[in-house]
Amino acid sequence: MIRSGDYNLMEYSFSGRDHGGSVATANDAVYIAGFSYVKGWRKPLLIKTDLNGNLIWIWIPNLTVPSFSLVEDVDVVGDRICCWVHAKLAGNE
Amino acid sequence: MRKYRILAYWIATLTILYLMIFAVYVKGFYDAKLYAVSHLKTIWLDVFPSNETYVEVDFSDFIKDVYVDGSVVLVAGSVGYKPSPTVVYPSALIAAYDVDGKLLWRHVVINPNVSSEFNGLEVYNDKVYAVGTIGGKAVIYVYNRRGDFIYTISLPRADEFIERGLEVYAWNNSLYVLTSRRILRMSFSGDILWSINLTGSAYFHSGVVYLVRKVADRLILEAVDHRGKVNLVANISLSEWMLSIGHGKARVGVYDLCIYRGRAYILMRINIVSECHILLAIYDPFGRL
Repeated sequence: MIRSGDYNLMEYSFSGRDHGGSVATANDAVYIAGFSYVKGWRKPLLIKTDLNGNLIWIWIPNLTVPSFSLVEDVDVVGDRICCWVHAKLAGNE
Repeated sequence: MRKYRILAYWIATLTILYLMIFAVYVKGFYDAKLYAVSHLKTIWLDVFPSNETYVEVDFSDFIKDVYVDGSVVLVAGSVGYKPSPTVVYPSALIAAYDVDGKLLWRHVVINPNVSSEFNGLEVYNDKVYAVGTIGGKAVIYVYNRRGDFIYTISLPRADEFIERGLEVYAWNNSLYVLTSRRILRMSFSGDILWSINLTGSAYFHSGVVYLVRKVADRLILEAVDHRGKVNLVANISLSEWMLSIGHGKARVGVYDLCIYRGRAYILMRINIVSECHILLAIYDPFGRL
């Protein structure tokens, strides 16, 4: 087994049903895109951490209607975060 | 009697108004909770399709990739072309915006017979490369920065590429195409320099394709160099990792990977009884953590 390196394992739990989808890094930060469940509805989720995985902030877009959605992916350019969100006005799990 | 009816009417009206104000207050409270964790705001938003000629075809489709090139934002995906009220052709979409959200150009590649979509974008030497499946065939469409179509590059064995997303990258005068099953290195004229099979998630970084996959209890991290040679970076016991954070019996799934400053950031899922949490593994092969 090759195990010459070292590691950090960081666990993020907000609603107990939290899923990642993609991870991106830029400007010495890590961005995790995915979805979470808020009051039973699936909501987009974006997390920013430092390079060691320490949480800086989370973002859950406040959609005005119940929705089935997720942050599909994330990229960071300069001081702008580009994330694209799938949303659908139907259904909860 | 009429006086009481009027009174009842006002009481009912005021009750409804009160309930509405209360509902708005409660909603505002929850909104505030959400906003409290958010420091982001939308700068601009474009909604497309927005007319009867183009419609959204499927929730799982539409935007597949976004690429920011200096001051231009490129998007790729699919859209439904609707030539008549009863017919919809799922078609490939590519569009470019400036940073303020003004549409610079947009193309929809329509094939009446088979669904089409663009999955991935790359910009290299003033050309835009959009990879996708057009009319059932895997292909790269090449545009200039003004959005003028230049030529196409055909990919081999189209059936391999339709299942999942395609990604395209350019580095050192060649193209790298990542599919759900293979990595191809190609010339800009479409010659294949090498190809290797892949499983799991892939991440392209400066001419190296990093691969991560779960094999039984192990997490395998590999790096494919510019010659197509696969090098093992790490072979890690997941159960050891889970034990180290107190989840000995947790199930783990691997989502995505990226490489930054010599470290691997591996996004995973951890299932603990009925709960599901996000797990970020930060692996430093040089032991600097």
